[in-house]
Amino acid sequence: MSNVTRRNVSNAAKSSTSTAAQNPQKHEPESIVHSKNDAHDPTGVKTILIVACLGCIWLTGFASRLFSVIRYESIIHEFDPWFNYRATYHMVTTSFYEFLNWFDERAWYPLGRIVGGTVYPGLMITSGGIHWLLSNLNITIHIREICVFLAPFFSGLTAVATYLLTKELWSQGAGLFAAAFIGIVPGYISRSVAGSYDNEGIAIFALMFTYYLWIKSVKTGRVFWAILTALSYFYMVSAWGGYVFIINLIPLHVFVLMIIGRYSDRIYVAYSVFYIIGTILSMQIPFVGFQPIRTSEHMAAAGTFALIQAYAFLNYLKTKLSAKEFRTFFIFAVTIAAGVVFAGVVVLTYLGYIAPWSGRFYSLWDTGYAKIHIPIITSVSEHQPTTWTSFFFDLHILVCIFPAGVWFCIKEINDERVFIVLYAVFASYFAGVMVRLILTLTPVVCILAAIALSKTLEYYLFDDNVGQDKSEDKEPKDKSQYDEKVPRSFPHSKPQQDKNLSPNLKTLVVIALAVLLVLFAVHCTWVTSNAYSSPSIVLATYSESGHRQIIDDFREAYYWLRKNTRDDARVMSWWDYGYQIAGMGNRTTLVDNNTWNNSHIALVGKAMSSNETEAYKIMRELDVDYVLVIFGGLIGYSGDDINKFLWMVRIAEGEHPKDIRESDYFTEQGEFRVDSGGSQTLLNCLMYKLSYYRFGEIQVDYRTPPGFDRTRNVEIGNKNFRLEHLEEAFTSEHWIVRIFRVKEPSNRVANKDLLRKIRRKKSVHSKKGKKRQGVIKNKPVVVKGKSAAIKK
Amino acid sequence: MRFLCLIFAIVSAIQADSNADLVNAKVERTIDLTSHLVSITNLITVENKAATGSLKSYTYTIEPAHAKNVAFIGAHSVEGKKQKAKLNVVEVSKDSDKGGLYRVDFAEGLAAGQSTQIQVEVVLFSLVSPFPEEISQNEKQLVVFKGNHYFYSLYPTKSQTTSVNLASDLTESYSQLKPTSKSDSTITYGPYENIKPFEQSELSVHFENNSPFLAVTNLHRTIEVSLWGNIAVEETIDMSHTGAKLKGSFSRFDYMRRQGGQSSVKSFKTLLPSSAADVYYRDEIGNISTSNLRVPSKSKGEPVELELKPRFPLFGGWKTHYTVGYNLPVYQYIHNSGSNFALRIKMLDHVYDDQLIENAVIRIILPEHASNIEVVAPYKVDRKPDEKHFTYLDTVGRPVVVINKKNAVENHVQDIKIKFTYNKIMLIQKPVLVIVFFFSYFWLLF
Repeated sequence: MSNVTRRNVSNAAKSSTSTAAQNPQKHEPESIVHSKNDAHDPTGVKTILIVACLGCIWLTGFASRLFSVIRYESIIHEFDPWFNYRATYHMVTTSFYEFLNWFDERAWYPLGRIVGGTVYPGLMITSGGIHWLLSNLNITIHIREICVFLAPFFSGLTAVATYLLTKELWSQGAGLFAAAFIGIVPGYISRSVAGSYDNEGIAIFALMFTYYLWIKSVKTGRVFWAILTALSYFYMVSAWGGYVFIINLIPLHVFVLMIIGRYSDRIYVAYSVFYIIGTILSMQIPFVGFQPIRTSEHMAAAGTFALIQAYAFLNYLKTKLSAKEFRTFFIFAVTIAAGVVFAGVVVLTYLGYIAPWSGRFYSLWDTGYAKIHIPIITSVSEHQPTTWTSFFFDLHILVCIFPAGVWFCIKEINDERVFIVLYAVFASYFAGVMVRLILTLTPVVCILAAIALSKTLEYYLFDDNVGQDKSEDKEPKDKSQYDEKVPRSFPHSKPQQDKNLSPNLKTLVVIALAVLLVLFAVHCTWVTSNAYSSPSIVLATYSESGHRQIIDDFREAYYWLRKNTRDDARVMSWWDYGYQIAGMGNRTTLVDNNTWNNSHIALVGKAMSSNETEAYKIMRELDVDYVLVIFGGLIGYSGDDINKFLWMVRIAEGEHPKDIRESDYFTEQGEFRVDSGGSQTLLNCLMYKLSYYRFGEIQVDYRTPPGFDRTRNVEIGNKNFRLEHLEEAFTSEHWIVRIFRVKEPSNRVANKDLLRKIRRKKSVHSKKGKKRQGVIKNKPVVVKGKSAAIKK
Repeated sequence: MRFLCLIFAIVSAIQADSNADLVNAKVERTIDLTSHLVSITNLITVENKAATGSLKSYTYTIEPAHAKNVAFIGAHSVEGKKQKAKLNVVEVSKDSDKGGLYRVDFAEGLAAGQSTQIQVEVVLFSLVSPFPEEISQNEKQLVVFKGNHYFYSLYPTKSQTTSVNLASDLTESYSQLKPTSKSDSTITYGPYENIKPFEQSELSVHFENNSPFLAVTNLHRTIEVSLWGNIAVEETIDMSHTGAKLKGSFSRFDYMRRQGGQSSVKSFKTLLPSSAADVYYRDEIGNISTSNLRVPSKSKGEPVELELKPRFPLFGGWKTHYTVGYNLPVYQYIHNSGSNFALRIKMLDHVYDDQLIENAVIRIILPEHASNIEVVAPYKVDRKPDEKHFTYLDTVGRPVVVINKKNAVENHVQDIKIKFTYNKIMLIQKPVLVIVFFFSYFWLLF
């Protein structure tokens, strides 16, 4: 160990890899290639080729993300992007400080939301900055267009960052491969199509660029690169909560390097500078605040920082003390230090200075945790554990090739390859836990698959022009580097083995690989086009004649809300639609996709799952003016509220176990059904009534009875009911969005006879009656009794 | 110029009062109530009873109650049954006590003892009001109109008839002043003989009218002229249904079965210029997918028909907002000789049939460096101070002519003419700018 350290110290000034000394034979060719690149390319043809390749990759990546813009329009997709867009719009139309101080009174009524302090502002600042720049150049462009095209644009930057990172790890050829992969791989496209204006769109670029700079600073040991790493990390922190991944992976890298005896002063410089500056910078983001020094997620980084200081100090002492003295001191110091640190962390956690791990974090380690404790996390589809098919779906052949890349990296290990191996291992684990984390796995899979492919092709393409031609027409982008590189690098690398294989065999292998790559490209296009290019707020169906019909119910209803309700009207809906109502409808919502307040959501869930009278009480308490439900029964849209209803019940039950019980909504056989066999609680709850109000009268086609739900393929169980406290305010063309107005409590009627007449109308008066005094006081009691009887 | 007009108008108003010798020999009045606008056509036979001297003008009067509701007034001289020359109409005064006074200039002076026929057309707004004001979805929309049985005039009228055209033959009630007759959807009043000047008697009709009661509350029309060959027109429209308000709930089920909701507006037609291309129809949250564009054959010069369907049907009291935009080729609208240019384009365009635009703001963006701007409006408009508009690498900004017009109806769809001078060499300013920028950039770089 001491040998390694000393050598590295002496080498620190040079920027060559530490392993170069360890395995001189293996790494000679690499360094020769690099020096050749720089020295023997006076015309710059190679640079131009690489730039051209990257440009092509950028263009391809950008273009393949435009399916939805071409098929539909330039529009913000799905749910979260609508909030991001709204926030960006707010920032652009007011000012940056206004945005940081923004208290959004249109969300989480009556609580409101401090947006500036609960948002990662990187995305908004990025697009706002682009808009500012363009408008200062008098180039008129609406902020929406910038938001829509931001993610495709950044995918090109990601490709460049991936190229740089892979170049540092392996070679330029592998870099171009990796860039091409990341440009079109569905696992990344799923989060970065045009219109998908979300944090991940820019965060993956920030992630890859931070890693590149980190590798660069590890290689050089320069403060300059380490500071750049910290700045890039700062951008990442401002952009996405996934920065936690960086702040755990980099310390882990350092830690592992120390353990396997690869500690060097370069690493000490890189990490110390990065950690200090990075942490201070990250604390400037209001949403992050003091978390980097107070929460458990960040403690690994702090611990590693302390450790590397101690390690460096010991190293320094070692040069001053004799071996025996040092050993005694070492044991003594390590024991004390470990004890102090451990006790400190325990005490601080106990005293509450360091927050324990958050629920979302626990669920990463214990996949069953969320299911039991936090149904709201489990209810989101992207938080489900990943299935094997989705790995293949999102990564295709790369997922099969990348273990080979890991193997190559381990075989020819050096400081930076330790990093990529660690990244691969951890990202694979996390991707297995949650579907959405495939996103963080994707770049490393691309890099390692590129390394594996590049290495294989380098070997098999050598001295074989036939194979080379074959690959040319498949992957024109990647062709260039083989033209360049192969003749130079190969004579050195594996001269003996080449003679063992016949040229034909090599050709076969190359053809096979080329076919795989073509299949990969086809698969990527197909997945992008079919799975990830729907804006989800506009639906399209194709009639039998092939004519396309647009179903635009969401916008129809949201726009109705925007134009035809009071400006301060409060809309109750399930949280999924909160951002859309705020973004498109511009109305106040009770709960939205920023699910920070579970009990508030549970209250809405309770209102939806109670009967109308109970729900009315809750709605009056929450000042609800309109209730919005999504109903797909008429046209067979499956993502509607009835299908999500059990989650509402579950979440409500979590907070109100006395009032709501999930079992009440099942039949005795434990089935969830909306037909006449369904449980009475379900058939009379608010959600059911609002979804199916007057649906029983409609007969869609002659083969089915009236009130036939096409999503669940049953005839509904409760048909001719009336609403008592609500009235239909708007229903969209295909009934997907139904909005109901909450009525004011009706007036008490002075006339005695009239009162008797309306007695049948259940409990309209009961609530008021309790508060009032005098003659009428007794009447409502009777009315209430009757209402209960009617119910049964 | 305008000031001079005003003085002239006042002088002539005094003159008009002295035209006591004129007599309305015969008046045939048609009040059209088929839409939400009141369109009155008066066919007047004017006789000069004076012994000597010819008269130059006729003063048309509007009831005090309606004076504020005049959207448009126009006149033609008539011979036989055919309209002849368009006559000049000048507003003299408009107040709610005396009513509105308009001077109609004869084509030629009316000599003593002679008579002539003129046709005066008046469009009034906000006079057909829903009654009851709120209806539920299944009810029909009933409206009431209050007017004058007699032809309101400064002059005595010898004989007059009035026919009222209704939107349907269903009437709740109508005022009767004998002789009155009703057949189908037409009510005829008169003939009434020898009516004194300023005679009034309330006419009131309460009838069913399910025609679209739409009003454009705000219209922002931007015409951006680029001498590179394109004129971009964009209209942003706030529209509301001014009919009887919807009371209670809107049931999609009933609407689907076509029960009720007759007064609601599902769609309407907008006519665009025949050379309009790249038409878009959108609002704050994106493209509105429900529209149809019918492009006629280019040669005929027919307008492009755009059938617009708002995102949701408009019921009484409901509002919507949208943007329609398109491009026009510059050569059809701009003519020049040397560096003098003239733009001739519709100041307002057709939005829907029987349109009422309560407030229109028209912004005409001229090319950068255009100067000596002169505006010739087809009728009286309110010109606001010019603005500057910056787009696409502009340096000094483009001059913007801003015009405001209130209560415009279909008769106001007329051309505006804008003259300006522009040096053609300025066309290459921007390409040069870009070339110089990149040249110096790379020059500095390497």
